[in-house]
Amino acid sequence: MKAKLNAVHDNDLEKLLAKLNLLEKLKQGELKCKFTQEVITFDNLHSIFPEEGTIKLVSDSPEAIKLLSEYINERNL
Amino acid sequence: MKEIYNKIDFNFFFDFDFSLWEVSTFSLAGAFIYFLLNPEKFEKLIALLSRLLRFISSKVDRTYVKYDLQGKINDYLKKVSKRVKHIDIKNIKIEWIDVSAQTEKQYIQDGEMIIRLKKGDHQNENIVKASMAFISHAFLKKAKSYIAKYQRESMDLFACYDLLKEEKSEILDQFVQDFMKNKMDNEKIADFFEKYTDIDDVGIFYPVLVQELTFLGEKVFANKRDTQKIHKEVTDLVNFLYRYANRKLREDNINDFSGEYCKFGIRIIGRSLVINRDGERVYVNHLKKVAGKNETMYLIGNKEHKKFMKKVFKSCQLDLNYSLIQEETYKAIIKDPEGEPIEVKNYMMTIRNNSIKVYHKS
Repeated sequence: MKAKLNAVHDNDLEKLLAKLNLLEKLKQGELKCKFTQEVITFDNLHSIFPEEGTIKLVSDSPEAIKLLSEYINERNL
Repeated sequence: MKEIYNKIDFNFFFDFDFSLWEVSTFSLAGAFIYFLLNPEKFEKLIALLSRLLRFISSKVDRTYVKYDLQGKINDYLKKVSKRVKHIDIKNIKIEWIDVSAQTEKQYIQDGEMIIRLKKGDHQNENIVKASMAFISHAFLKKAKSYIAKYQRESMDLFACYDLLKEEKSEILDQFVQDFMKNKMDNEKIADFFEKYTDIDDVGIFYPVLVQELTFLGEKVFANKRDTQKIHKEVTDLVNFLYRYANRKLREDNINDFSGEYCKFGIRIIGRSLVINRDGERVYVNHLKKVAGKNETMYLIGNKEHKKFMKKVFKSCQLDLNYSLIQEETYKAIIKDPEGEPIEVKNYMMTIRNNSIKVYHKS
C-alpha cells in the first residue's frame, strides 16, 4: 500500500496561506498551534488540516508533532 | 593416448567488437532494469542530481526536497517490508499541493492535511520532522494500534532512529536533540528502547517482534479486547525476546511464547554436532511435537545450514500443516559462551500454521 503525503514548499507557503485567508492573521500573530498554543510564525509552521469548519495549524515543536500524530491516529485523518 | 590427444584440438580465438553505441545501449538497459527494480534508488539519484542544480531555480529545489525525502523513507520501508509480512505501508509519495486551485471553503470541506517542507537549505530539518511525523502516523499502524502509549512511543523512536542512523551525523543529532532526549526521560520508554536495541542486534526486531505485533493487530481488530491484557502481553513479549537476545551461545532458554494473542516458538536449527550425528531426524521430530502449540515458528540457524534447514522443513511441512511465509539471511551480533559479542551470518525461516487466517479470532 502506498501512503500519500500532501506537502507545500516554502516558496508556495505565503501564497497558500493567502488563498486560505490565513496570511494576515499569521502576520498579526493571531494564529496558535492547536496542540501547544504557541504562536504560529512563518518559521515554526509545520502543518495544517481542516476540522469542524475551520483550519487548524500545528507548530514544528517535537511535542506538537507527537500530539498531532496521536490525534491523527485517533481520528484517522 | 597420443591418438586421443591428437583428436582434441582447441583453438580459442576471441574477437570483441562492440561499438560505443552498443555499449551505451547495454549500459542504459542495465541501468533501466536496476532502477525499475529499485525505484527508491532512482529517487535518490534524482535527489543527488537536483541537489547539485537546485540553485538554478526553485523548481529544482522542490525536486530535491521531495525526492531526497521520499528516497530515504522508501529505502527504509523497502528494507522493513522484506522482513515483515502483511506490513501496511510499503511506499510513500510526496505530492506538492496545487496552490492555485485552493480556496478556503473547499479546503475546509474536502481538504486533507498538508505538511510544510522548507527549502533545501533546511533539508536536515525536513528529514527529521517528516520522518518522525510519518513513522508516528502511518508506519506499522496495524502493529501499534492496540499497544500502550509508552510502548508505541518507544517503537516510533526506535523505528525513526533506525531510519536515520545511516544518514549524516547532523541529521541523527537533530533527531536525538528534538525527539529522543525528552522522551528518554520517561523510564518506561527508555527501558523499552534499550531492549529494542538488544533485540535488533540479534536480528529479530523486525522479523519477530514487529511481525508478532502485526499478527496481534490482525487478531484483535474485530474482537472485544481487554486492553490491559494486551499491554501486559506486549511487555511480556518484549521481555521474552530481550532474554533471548541476551542468551549466550548454546545456553538453554525458554523458546516458546504462549500468550493469549501471540503464540510462537523460536528454534535454533543446525548445531553441527547434532547434524553430523543425527541428521534431520531430531529436528523433524521436535518440530512435529511443538508445532501444534504455536501459530508461528521462527527457525534460526547459521547461514551455512540454510540447505539443511530447508530440508528439515520440507520433510515435515505436510505433517505440520505450516507454510513458509518469509525467509532471510542477515547479520546478527550474538553472545559467545563467555558472553562476548560475536558477529554471525544467520538464516531465518518464518513458518506459519495454515489454519491461521490473516484476520481471525483466537
